Amino acid sequence: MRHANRVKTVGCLMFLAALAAPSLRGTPVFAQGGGGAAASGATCDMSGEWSARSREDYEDRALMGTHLGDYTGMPINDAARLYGHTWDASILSLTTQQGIPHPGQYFMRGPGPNFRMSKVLDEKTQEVVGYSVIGMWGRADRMIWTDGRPHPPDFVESTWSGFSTGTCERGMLKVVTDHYKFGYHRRNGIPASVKAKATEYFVRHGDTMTHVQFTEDPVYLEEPLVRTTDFEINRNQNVGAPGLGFETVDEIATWPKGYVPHFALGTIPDEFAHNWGIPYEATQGGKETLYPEYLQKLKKMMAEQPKPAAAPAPKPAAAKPATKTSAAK
Amino acid sequence: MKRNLFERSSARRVVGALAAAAIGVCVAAGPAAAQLNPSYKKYSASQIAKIFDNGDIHVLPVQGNIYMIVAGDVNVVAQVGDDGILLVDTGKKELAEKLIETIRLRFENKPIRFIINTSVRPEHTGGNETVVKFIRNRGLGSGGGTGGDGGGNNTFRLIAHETTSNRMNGLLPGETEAPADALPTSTFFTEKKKIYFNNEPIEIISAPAANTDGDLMVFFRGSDVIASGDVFRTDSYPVIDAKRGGTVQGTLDALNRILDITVPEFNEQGGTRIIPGHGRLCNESDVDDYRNWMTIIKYRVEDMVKKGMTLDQVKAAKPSLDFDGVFAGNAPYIEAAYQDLTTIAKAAPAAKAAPSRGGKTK
Repeated sequence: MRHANRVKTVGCLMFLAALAAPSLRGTPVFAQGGGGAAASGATCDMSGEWSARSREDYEDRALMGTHLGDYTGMPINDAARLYGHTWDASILSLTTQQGIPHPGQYFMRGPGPNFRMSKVLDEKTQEVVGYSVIGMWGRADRMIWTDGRPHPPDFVESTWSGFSTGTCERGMLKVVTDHYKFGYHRRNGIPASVKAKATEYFVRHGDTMTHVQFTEDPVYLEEPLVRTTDFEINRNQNVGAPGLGFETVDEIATWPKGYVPHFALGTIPDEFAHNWGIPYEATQGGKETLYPEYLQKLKKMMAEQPKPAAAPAPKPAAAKPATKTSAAK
Repeated sequence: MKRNLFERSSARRVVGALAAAAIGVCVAAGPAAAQLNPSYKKYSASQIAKIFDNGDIHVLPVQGNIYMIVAGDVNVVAQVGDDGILLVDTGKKELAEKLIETIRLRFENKPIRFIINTSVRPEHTGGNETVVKFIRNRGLGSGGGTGGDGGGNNTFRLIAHETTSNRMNGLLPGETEAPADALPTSTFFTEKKKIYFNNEPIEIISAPAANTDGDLMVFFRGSDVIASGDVFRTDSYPVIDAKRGGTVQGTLDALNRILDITVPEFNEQGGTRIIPGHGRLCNESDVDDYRNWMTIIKYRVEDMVKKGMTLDQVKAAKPSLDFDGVFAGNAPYIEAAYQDLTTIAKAAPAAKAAPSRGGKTK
C-alpha cells in the first residue's frame, strides 16, 4: 500500500516536474541534434554526484531488504508470487550468486543508490554521446547512450544494467532499457525477468532530481511497476572508491554439488502479515492492491480478522533489526 | 609505474558493461563497420551487407577466435583462424546453403577443417550433408576416424560422440541411416576428446545421458568460450529425449559441468562466454539461473513423486509455473523429470530435502 498513492500521482508529478523546470523546457535532443544543443549547454544535463534520499521504504531500501512474503505495492502475478514463496535467501551463498550486483530492474531503488552521472564525450567531436552512471550497489555500472544508436538484437548478451538509450524530452532525460539479466524487483525474491523493459525519466530541478521508473515485465507483473526516487547533489561525494568487485568464497561446506537452496512448494510466507497485523491476502500484492478502492476491502478484512492477541506490536521500521526471515543482501 | 587500482577496475567495468552494447552495435551496424575494414573492399555492397546479416543468418563476433552464427532459431559456432574453420553443428538442412554462403563471405573462403556435432538432433546435424558436399567440392577429403588417420592438409573431420554416430548410421533401434556425407568420420566414447586448432586447445566434452546419450559440449580454452549444444538454451526448458537416452539428471550434471569451467570477469558477468544451442549469447550467471531453476523444478517433482502423485496430478500442480513465462515446453520437461524420478533415479541418492522454515505449509 505504500506505493499506491505514488502510482496514482506519478503522471501529475512528472507534469509538475517539467513545469517546475522552465529552464529545461523545450530543449532539443542533445548529441542527436548535430552538436548544437551540446555546444550551447542547454541540454538535459543530469551529470553530477547524486545522493539518494532514502526516507521512504527505508527498511526495504537502506537496510537488509524487506521481509519474505512482503509483496505490498507490487503488481505481481501468480508466477512471481510462487517464485517469491519458494525463494530462499540462502541461495545467495552459492558461489555463482555471491558476486551478483543489484540488477537494473531494481538498482535505482536501493540501497541508495549514490551515484556519479558523467557525460561521455566523443573524443573527436566532443559531442555528448551518453552518460555513464557509476555507483549502483555491486558496481552494476551502466551506460546510457544518447547518440541515437539502435538497441541490439535479441541474441546478444544481457547484462545486469541492461542496454539503455536516452533522449531529452521536455527537459527530462528519458531512458529506455532492455537486455536485462534475470534479476529482481524487490530483494525478497520477487523476480524480474529477462523480458523486462524499463522506461525511466530523470527530472532535474537544480540540485535535486526525481527519478521515475516504469518497469514492464510480461512474465511477472500484471501492470507496470512504477517507482519514484529522489536524489540530491552531494558535492563532497565521490562514489566509485577503489573496488575490485565481490570475491566469492566457500560459505557452506555441507551442500552437495549442484544443490540449490529453496523452499518447498506450498510454503506460505506469512510472518510478515502476522508480525505486522495485516491480513495475509493484503500482503500478497497484485494490481488490485495498488489502487485506493482496495482500502475498502482492506478495512473489511481488518475488521473480520481475529483480534491479534498474540500478534506483537509493530516496531518502528528503522529500528527493527534484521531477522533470519529478512532477505539478505 | 604502479597503476591506480580504481582506474583499472573502473575501465574494466566500463568495458564489461558495454560489452553487450558493443556487440550489439557491431551487429546492428555491420555493413558500415565492414566498409571500414580494408579486407572487405573486394566485396560488393550487397555482399558486404550479407557478411553480418544474411536474412535468417546473423554472425556475432564473441571473443577470441569465436563467432556465434545465429541460423534461424539455432546457433552454429565458428572458430576461425589461420588454420581454417571449425564449425560446431551445421544447423537445419533448409538453411545450410545460406550458412555456407555466409561463412564463405564472412571468413574469406577459409577451408572448413572440422565439424563437431553436439547432438544427433536434426537442427544440429541437418546441414551436415550440404556443408560436407561443399567441402568435398573444394577438394578436401574426409580423413580421420577413430584410428587416427593423419590425413594430411587436405582433410576435414566430422566429430561426434560414438553413440550419435551409431544413431546416425541407423545402428540403434528406431533410427534411420543418414546420407553418407552427413555421417561422422571421427568418434569417441570417453569423457573428452582434445584437439588443437587455430592456436588454441579445444576440449570436446561428453555430457552423458543429458538431452540424449550422445551430447557434446565444446570448450575453446584460448578463446574462453563454451559451445554448449542443447544442454543449455535460453528459449525453452531442456528437451529431454528419453527414447535416445536423455535424462533430467544428466542434463543437470552437464549444466554443473559448465559452471565448473566458467569464470566470470567481474560480478557474475563477462569472462567465459557460453553459446547455447538456441537463444542468446550468455555467461556464467545465465547458466547458473537455468541450472537453479531446472534443479528446483526437479526437486518439486521429486517431492510430489514421494507423495505418490500421478503424472497428471503433478502437471495439475504446476511445478514450473514461475518459469513458464520465460521458457517454452514445460510439459515435456515435467514428464521427463517424472519418468526419471519414478524409474531411473530411484537407485540414486535422494537430493537434499528443502529445509523447513517458519512459515506454514499447505
